[in-house]
Amino acid sequence: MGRGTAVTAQPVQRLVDEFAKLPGIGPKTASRLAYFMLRGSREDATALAEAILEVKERIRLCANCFNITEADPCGVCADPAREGAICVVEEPLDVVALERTGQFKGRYHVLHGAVSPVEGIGPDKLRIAELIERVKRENPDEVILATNLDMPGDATATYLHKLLVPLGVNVTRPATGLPAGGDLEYADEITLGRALAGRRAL
Amino acid sequence: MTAPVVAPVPAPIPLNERLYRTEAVVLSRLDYGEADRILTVFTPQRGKLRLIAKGVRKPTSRLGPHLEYFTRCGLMLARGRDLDTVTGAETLDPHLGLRSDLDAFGHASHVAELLLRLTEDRQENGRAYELLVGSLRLFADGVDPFAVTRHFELNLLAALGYKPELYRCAGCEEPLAAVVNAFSPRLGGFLCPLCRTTDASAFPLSVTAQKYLRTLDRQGLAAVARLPVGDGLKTELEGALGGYLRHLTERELHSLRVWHALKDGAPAG
Repeated sequence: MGRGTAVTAQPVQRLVDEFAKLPGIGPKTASRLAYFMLRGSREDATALAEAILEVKERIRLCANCFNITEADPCGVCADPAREGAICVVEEPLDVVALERTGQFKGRYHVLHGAVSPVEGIGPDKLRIAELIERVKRENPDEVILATNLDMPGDATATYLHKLLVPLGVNVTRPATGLPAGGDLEYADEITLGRALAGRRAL
Repeated sequence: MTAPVVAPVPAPIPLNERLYRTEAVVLSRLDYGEADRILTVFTPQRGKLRLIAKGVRKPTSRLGPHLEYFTRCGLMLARGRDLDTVTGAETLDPHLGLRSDLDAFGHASHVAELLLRLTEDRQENGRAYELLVGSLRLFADGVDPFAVTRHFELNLLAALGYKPELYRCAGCEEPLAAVVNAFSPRLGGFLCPLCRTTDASAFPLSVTAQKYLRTLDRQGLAAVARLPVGDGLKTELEGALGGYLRHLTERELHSLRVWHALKDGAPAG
């Protein structure tokens, strides 16, 4: 509740404040969205409100892979054709990205973040204990550590590797290299170095 | 082994009113909007800066890879109304060794966290920058991070004007004797057995731990790196400096706690 309450009607200000809580939305954008909703039809407003309530009521985490799902276990975990490997990712959106490739026929495990010491996110805040239990239980052929290729993602992968190796499972990490459509000249040293180290015969 | 001497960095060259160039180390990142990031960096002449880097989360971003955590980079910046914008970036030292070494990564996070919590935006501190760059280099080289981190902590405190008093009692100002004295985070120094009761929150520190701190202060990193340090002494020193730093930042510091969790293996639960 800012000082704007004097000129802005209380319910409008409340909507602005709610929008301003969303990631990447500042006070200006929040006002714009609120006034857009105010001018729009009642149906549009109801549809948005119901959609928000519905995800909160019907969506939960799969007890097996911790992806967001309507049914528990989720579609991927329930599919008997999907087996063999577990692909570990940071966020549910990473599952969507990997599914778009159509290349992976195993199951997923969503950690819900990566290790970040400065923010106080340690292994206990991620679904790591659950992953270890799952690997012991399912005994997969391979665990692919598809955390992001940045410092926290690499640290998370290093930590998981340390925990998984004693379980005797094959642990891999996706290759790093040049992006499709990328220009060699603009590649950074790390990516280019890794791309060279991991080169393949044509 | 000594902290590498960092080559003097030329003063920022004003390219025009809006653009300027600086060296920087990335301390933290925050995803913003569709593909942008807000970075907090530490620079030699401008201290801590908050910057916006646009489009860097896209895989084809030319800037993105140079703006990784703990990377020492050269930046081209454009002045903005609120945050300055990154318009160009090149890697000077990626500190690759931090990526596969959890001890190095955990301690690098700790030194970054201290600069984030203890320094003010746009407050120049060349000595703090030098300490940061020197420590990250040693962590990346796989040097035992214990001594490097204590050296960073003690010298950062000095560079910020918070150096703890190691030689005289913070109560009666008499020289400290070679006995168990109590360290008081509140007073920023030791209390002799007679003044011990001045601060109930002061905790005792062994003679060896006190000697370690004085050697570090007088003779520097190379001298303490040679000392044999057992686990008990490590806990004592980490606790003493950590207690003082916590008192100054007025908040919990997370990095070393997370590092201990990573080191100890299997997560709880």
